[in-house]
Amino acid sequence: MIDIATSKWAKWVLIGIFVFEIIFLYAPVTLLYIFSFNEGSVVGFPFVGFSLDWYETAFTNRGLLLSIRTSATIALMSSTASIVVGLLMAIPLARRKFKAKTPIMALVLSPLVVPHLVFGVALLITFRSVDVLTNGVLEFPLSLPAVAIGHVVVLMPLIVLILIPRLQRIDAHLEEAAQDLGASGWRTFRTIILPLIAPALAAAYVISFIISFNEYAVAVFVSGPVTTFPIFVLAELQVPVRVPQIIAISVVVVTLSLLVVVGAEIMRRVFERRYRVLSDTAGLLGVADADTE
Amino acid sequence: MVSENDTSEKSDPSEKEVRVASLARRRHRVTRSLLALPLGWLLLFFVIPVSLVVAYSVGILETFTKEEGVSLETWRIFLTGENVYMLLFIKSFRMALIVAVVVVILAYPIAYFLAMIADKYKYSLLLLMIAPFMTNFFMRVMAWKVLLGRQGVLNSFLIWSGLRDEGNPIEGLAFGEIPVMIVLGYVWIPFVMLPMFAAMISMDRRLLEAAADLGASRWRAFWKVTFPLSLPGVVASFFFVFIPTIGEFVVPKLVGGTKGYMFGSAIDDLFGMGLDWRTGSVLSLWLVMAVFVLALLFMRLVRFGRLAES
Repeated sequence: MIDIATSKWAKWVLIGIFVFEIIFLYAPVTLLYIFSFNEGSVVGFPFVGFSLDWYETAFTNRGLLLSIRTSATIALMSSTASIVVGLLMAIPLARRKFKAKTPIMALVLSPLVVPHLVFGVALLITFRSVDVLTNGVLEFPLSLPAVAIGHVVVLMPLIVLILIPRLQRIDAHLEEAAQDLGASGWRTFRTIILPLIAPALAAAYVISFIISFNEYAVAVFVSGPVTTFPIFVLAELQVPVRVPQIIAISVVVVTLSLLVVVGAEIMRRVFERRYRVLSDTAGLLGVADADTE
Repeated sequence: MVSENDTSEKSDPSEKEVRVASLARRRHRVTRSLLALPLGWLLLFFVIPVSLVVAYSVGILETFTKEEGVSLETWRIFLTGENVYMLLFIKSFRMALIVAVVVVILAYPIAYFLAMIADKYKYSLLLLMIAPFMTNFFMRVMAWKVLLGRQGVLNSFLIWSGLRDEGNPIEGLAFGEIPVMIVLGYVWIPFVMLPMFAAMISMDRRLLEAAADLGASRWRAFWKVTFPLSLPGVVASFFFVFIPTIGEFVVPKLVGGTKGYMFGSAIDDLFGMGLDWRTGSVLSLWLVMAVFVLALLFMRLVRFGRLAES
C-alpha cells in the first residue's frame, strides 16, 4: 500500500472527515432520542422537562400497536418466503454451470434498478386487473399477502447477493466428496452446504425482516385497508400533536433492531472465525463484499 | 454407505464415466427444478406487473370504464410537454444528479479511509457507520422532519439561544427543494460507501507496490492505480443513490412542501388519489427507462460488466 494512504497528513485528514461525517450522521438521530424524553408536546427548544409520558402514550395507542403487529406479520411472511426462494436461486447461480446463467442473473437483479414506487404501482395495476381480466370472477384483495408478495420480489435480489459470495467460498471438493461417498443431493445440501451458510442465512433473514418491516413505497399501494407501521407513522407525522409519541415508538423500534443487527453481525463473525472454511475477510453482513471477487 | 464406497472404488473407468455423466444430468435436472419457483415468482410478480404498466400506458388494459381506448395519446401529451410532468421530471433528474454526485464525493474518502487505512478496525468502523441506518428509513427522515421547518428544532434552538430574533427564523431551514436534497443525502451516505469500499478492498495491492517501485509518487499512485480501480464502485454507488432518489416521494412529502414536489410525488398522487392511472403509468415507465438508459451509458463508460459478473 503505497499511495496517499501511507502519508501522515492524509491519514489525519481522512480521520477528520470520518469523525465529522459520523457526527453528522448521528446528531439528528441522537436528538430524537433526547426529545423522546421531553415533556412538552412541541418538539423543539426549549426543553421542558424529563418524562416518560410519550412512551406511555405510544404503548397505549391501539392503532399504533396494531400497525406494528401488521408489519411484523408481513415481515415474517415475506422474509421467510424470500429466504427460501433466494436460496433456491443462489445455489445454482453460485455453484452450477449452465447456459442461461447471465440472463437469469440479470433478471434476478433487475428489481434493484426499478424504483420501489414504480414496482408498487405495477403491482397495484396487476392485482386490480385480475378482477378486470377475469370479468370479475376472480378478485385479488389488497391486503397483507399482497404486500408480502411484493416484498419478496424486493428482497430476493438482496438475499441472492448476500448468499452467492458465501456459497462460492465453499470448497467444491467438499460437495464432490460427499456425493462420491454416496450422499444424495438433499443430504449434501443439508449436511455440508446448509451448516456452512447458516450464519449468512441468519444475517440475510434479519436484514430482510427489517427492510420489509420498514418498507413503505410498495406497501402503500397494495395494502388496501391495512395499515402497516410505516404507513401509520407517515400519516401521524402530518399531525403535529402526535409527533412526540411517534418519536418515542421509533426510538424503541430502532433500538431493538440495532441490537438485533449488531448481535447478528457479532454472532456471524464469531462463527466464521471458528470455522475457517469461509474466508475471514467476510464483510459486514455479507453486503460489503457482495460484489467483490 | 460403506458398500457403496467399495463398489465405486472397484469399478472400471468407463463405468465411472457413465456415473459422472448421469450425475451431471441429475444435477442439471435439479438445477432446473431449483430455479423454477424463484423464476416463476419473478415472472408472475415482477415481469408481468411491469408489462401490465406498459399495457396500461397505451390503453390496452383499463381498470376504470371511462377511459379513451388504445392510443399513444397519453405518451404524446407527456413527451411534447403539454402537461407539467416533463418539467417536473427534469427538475427531479437534476435534484437526483446533484444528490448522487455530492453523496458519492462525501462518501469516497470514508470508503477509502475504511478500506486502506482503518486496517483491522475496518469492519467495526463500517458497522458503526451503517448499523443505525440499516434499521429505519423513517427514523432518519423523521429526525429531519423534526429538525427542519420554521418551528423545527434547529430554528427553535437558534431563537431560544438568542442567535436569531423571534419571528425571524432561517428560511433555508424551512421546507423546500434544498431540505429534500439534504435529507436524501443524509439518508444515503452510509450505504453509498459500500460498493466503493468493496471495490477498493478487492483491488490488488501489489499494483501499488509496483507503482512505487517504478518511482511513482503517492499522489500519482493514487490517481493512476487506486482511483481507476475504484471507479466501478463509484459508478455502482452513484446508481445506488440516483435510482431511489429520482423516484423519491416520501421525503418530498415530509420536508418538501410545494417547492420540493418531485416526479415521484406526481406518480404517487396520480395513483394514490386515483386521479389518472394512465398518465401515472406513462410517468412510471419513463422513470424506469431513464434509469436504464443512464445505467447502460455508465456501463459502457466504465467496464462495469466485470464487476457485475464476478
